[in-house]
Amino acid sequence: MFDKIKPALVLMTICLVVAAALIVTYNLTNVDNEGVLTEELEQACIDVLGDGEYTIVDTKIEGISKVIKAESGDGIAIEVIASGYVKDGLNILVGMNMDGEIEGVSVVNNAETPGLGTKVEEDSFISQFVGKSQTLKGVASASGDDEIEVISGATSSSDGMIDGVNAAIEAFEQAKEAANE
Amino acid sequence: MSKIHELTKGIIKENPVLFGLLGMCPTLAITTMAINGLGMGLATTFVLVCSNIVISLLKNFIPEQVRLPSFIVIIAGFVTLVSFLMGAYLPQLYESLGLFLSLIVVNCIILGRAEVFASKNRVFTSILDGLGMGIGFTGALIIIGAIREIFGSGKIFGYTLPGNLPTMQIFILPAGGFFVLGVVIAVVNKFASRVPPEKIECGSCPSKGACGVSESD
Repeated sequence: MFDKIKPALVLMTICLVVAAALIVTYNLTNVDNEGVLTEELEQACIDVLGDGEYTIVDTKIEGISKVIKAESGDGIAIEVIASGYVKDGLNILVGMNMDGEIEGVSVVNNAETPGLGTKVEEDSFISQFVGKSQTLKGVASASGDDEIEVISGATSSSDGMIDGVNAAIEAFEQAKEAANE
Repeated sequence: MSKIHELTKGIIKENPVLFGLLGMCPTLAITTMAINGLGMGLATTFVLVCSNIVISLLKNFIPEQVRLPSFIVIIAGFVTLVSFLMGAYLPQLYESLGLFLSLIVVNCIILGRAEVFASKNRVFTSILDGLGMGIGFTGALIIIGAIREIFGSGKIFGYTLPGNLPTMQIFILPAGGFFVLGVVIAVVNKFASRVPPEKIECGSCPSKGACGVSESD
C-alpha cells in the first residue's frame, strides 16, 4: 500500500522543500523599488537634466512608469518602459524642460540584443531626440523635425525607443500639471 | 587518480557543447559577447553542481516513476535561486542574460548529467562531474562569444580593440552564431583527433527510452 503512494509522496515532499527554500531566498534578496527613487534613476535624472534634487511625483498616468520633478522647477523627467525587440526591454528616462522640449534621453536598463539593440544607447542615435517636442516617427533617413533615423539592423529596438519617447511626449502636459500641484 | 579524470573529462574530451552538442540554445543565443558567455557559463555551472549534489544524495530515495519530475523540480529550484541571487547582486548581468537565465532549466546538459551520472554515482564524483562539465561549457561559451564579439563589434569583454578593425554585423546575428559554432567544433575535434563513431550508440543519451531510433541505426 505504501509502495503505491510513495512516489507521489516523495515528489510532493521535494516540491515542498524546494518551495520553502525559494520563499526564504526571495525574501532575502527581493528589493522592492516601487515608488523609490533608486540611485540608478537619480543618476539618469542628473544625466538628462543636470545636478539637483529630484523627487517622484505621486501620480498615475497611463502609458508611462513614473514622473520625477526637479526641485529647481526647471524640468521634469518621465520614466517609460518600452518594448523593442524584447518585451519591456527598454527602460528609459526622458528629461524635458517646462516647455515640453526634450533635454535628453537616458537608457536606465537595456535588455535588447547585446551588440545590436544596445546600440540605441549610442550618442549618434540618442542625441537625435534632443530638442524634440512633437510625436516622432522612425525613418531610414531623417529630414523632418518629427523624424528619427533608425539604426540599421536594430529597427525594432529603435522603434521601441521612439515609442517610449513618444509616450513621454504625450504624457507631458498631464505630468507637468501633476508636478505643479 | 581516476577521480581527477571525472573532473577533466568535461573540459575537453567530453566537452558537452563541442562534442556532446548539448546546450545549443544558450550557446547560440547568448554568445554575442564574451562576458555573457562567462556569466551564463558560471550560472549554469552553479546549477549543475548543486543539482548534481542533491540528486546524488537523493538517488536512493526517488522512486523510478517520479524520477524525471523530481529532477526537474530540483533543477528548476536551483535556477530560480540563481535568478534571485543574480537579480539582487549582479543586476547588469541579470538584464543581459534575460530570458536565457530561466531557460537554464531546460538546458539538456543539466538534465543529462543528472540522469546519466548523478543519479548513479556518489556525491563527490558527481560534484567533480558537474564542475568539469560546467567548466567545459563555460569555456566553449567564452571562446565562441569572444570570436563573435571580436569580429562582430571589434571589442573583447567590452574593451575596444586597437587597430580599428572592420566589424561584420553578421557575427552578432544568429546566422553568425551557427557559423562560428560549426567552425569551432570542427577545429577542436580536429585537434582532439576525434573521428565520428562507426555506430551511433544510445548508451549515454538521456532520451534513450523515448526516441524512436533503434540501436542499430
